[in-house]
Amino acid sequence: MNIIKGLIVKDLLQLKSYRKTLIIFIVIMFIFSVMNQQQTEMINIFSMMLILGFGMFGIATFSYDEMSKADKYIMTLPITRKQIVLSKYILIIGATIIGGILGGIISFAIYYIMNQQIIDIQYLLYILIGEMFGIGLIQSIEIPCIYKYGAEKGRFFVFFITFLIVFLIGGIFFLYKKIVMPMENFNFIKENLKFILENYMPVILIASTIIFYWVSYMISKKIYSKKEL
Amino acid sequence: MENILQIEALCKKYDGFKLDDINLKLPQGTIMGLIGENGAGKTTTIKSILNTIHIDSGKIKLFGLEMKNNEKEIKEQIGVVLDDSFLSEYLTPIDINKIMRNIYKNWDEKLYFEYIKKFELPKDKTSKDFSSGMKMKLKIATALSHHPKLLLLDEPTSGLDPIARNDILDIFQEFINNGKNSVLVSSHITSDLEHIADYITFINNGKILLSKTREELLEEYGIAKCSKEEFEKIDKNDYIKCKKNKYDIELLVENKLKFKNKYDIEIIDKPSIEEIMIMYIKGEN
Repeated sequence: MNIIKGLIVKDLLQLKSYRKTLIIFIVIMFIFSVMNQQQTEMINIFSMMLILGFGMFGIATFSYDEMSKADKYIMTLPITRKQIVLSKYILIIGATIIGGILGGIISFAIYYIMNQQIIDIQYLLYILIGEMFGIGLIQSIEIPCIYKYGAEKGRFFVFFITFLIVFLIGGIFFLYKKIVMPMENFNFIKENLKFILENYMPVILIASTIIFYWVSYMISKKIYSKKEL
Repeated sequence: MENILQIEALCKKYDGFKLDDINLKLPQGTIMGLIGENGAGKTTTIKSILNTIHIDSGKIKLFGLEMKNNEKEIKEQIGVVLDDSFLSEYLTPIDINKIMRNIYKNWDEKLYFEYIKKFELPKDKTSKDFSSGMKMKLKIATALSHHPKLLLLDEPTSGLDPIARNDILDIFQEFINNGKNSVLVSSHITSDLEHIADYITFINNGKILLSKTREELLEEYGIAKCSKEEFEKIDKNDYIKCKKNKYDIELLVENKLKFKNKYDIEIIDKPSIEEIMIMYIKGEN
């Protein structure tokens, strides 16, 4: 565990300059949110930007490693390749969760300051879980891409693959609406699906996020074990 | 004498390059210089030892253990300096200590800061503002501070001025003084190795052309200069390579005394390692 701590300390220390940018970003977003009339929407955007910002904080360490060609040196230390990959996932997932918690707390505060009343907690949690799911999905694709193609090229692939997924999901919804919805024979399935989605959506989203990260970690581990530096 | 490093029949193939049947032994308490042109296979050999690339065949043993099953244990005892790779330049020597004390079981914080002081490196400045010599010294301080038994260095002196180079060579010499530690250093600056290496291994086109003690190379090898008439009388087996100049012919011979006794040739110079290397690469058979 100490070794993984060492790798995470390395990533956190080399992102010192990024920390300042992140704080300035939070402050600007905070002011912007407070000044805006449409509080609820701003809170959605604000928490999402925070999760995204913190998640990017973790992803940015790949670029730093690539710039200093640190990967090659790190591999000469008494660390297994599995530990190198695991440390990145812990850092990125940890940063994303911290972003989510911070986003939630600050959103709560903004709403309270502006409206003198407490925000609907369930609504806020749903928003945060939804946002973490989206960003978790992108990261789960992005990390193996970076391991395979490098930090710069990997970014291009992630845009491409994310676009593809959005297109696919959109396509499935479209087909569902156009083909399955008008069919009377499928009423039983439709009812059940509606029930599941309405009652278990957050659980489904959290479970899917965990599965995405796990599959992504297994793929990254495999890619990195074959990598030659 | 025990071998700290032993390589047997190492092969690694890339597109257009092959590291072919590398055999090498590095005894305890010695420094071995790995020489050769850029792209000859020096770095690939070091990468193979460190398992940062996957070898096609062969056996690599360090401290009597095979890397395959004992990677962590072995790497705890190796200090590595790579020419083109280290931790981020946005880190200070203090930051590096914070990282490394988690990574190496034997990390010696006190020793590390002693080196930092000895090398006159500012503790709290990021290394991006350091000179090349300072950066190299930081890499070396980091490589030495977990009490390794073997130092693996890839081109540690390239790009440094003569004084910084000299300082660094002194550090290596000091490192092996206890008789237990060893150093494997690759360099294309052969003059550096002439001063410190006990063994010289010469790699060319992915093959080891020779691996001998420094004394054998510098004292026994010779470059004989002869005329065309004299050259015609010389047996092809008595020289390694020849180079035809405008007025004379130069011959690289393995044993200059033996050669002198056999042939009546007066000028046989003591070659430098660089001259031997050039004769091997540029000379004809």
